[in-house]
Amino acid sequence: MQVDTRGYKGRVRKSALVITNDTQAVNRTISLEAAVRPLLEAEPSHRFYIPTQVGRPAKMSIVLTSNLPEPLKITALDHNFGPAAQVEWEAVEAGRSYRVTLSTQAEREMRLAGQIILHLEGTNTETYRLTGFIEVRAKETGIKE
Amino acid sequence: MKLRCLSLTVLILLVWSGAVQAGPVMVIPEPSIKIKEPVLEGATVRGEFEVLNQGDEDLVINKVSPG
Repeated sequence: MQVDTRGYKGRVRKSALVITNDTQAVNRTISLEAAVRPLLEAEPSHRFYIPTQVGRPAKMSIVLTSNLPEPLKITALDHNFGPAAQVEWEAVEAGRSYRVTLSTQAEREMRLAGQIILHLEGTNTETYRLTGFIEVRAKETGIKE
Repeated sequence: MKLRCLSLTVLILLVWSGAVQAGPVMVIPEPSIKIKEPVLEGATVRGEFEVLNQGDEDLVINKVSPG
């Protein structure tokens, strides 16, 4: 039995059913369990969350640090937040640590959920995904009813 | 007479239980494997399971279906 751990983190348990001609116990379950360390440690989190108001540009950075012994390179980066969001990345320590920044100019009221897809070199996992949420609320007028 | 009846009953029970036990008997000594060392995401984890037959007929594995 083998388990591909791409996309898994933490404790992973996979089971399979062995079906035989043993009439007393036709099915038996076998299971394989492992603790999976993430390919990249993310600080402060694996998820972007940017709450702001219209007219107040905001950004959040996540520093990704590789757990691989060999150098890891980010070759490209895509995202599906649309034109209202910008994504940049820079090396903190080439081959090991990268800072990814998601930002918005917050020009209009919106709620955007999306993913940032990092294309990697130096690992058998070709892509790595970070999720995020941008929430731009209406401008507070300061008038209380 | 009573002893003979009892002996006969025991004999029948033994033969009957033997008939129930007949056929293939699947035994998996270690059905659950835990990998001790943490693995890095993206690695392929492998585990080998031994399937034994403790019956008196051939055991046929018809299917192994991932759950």
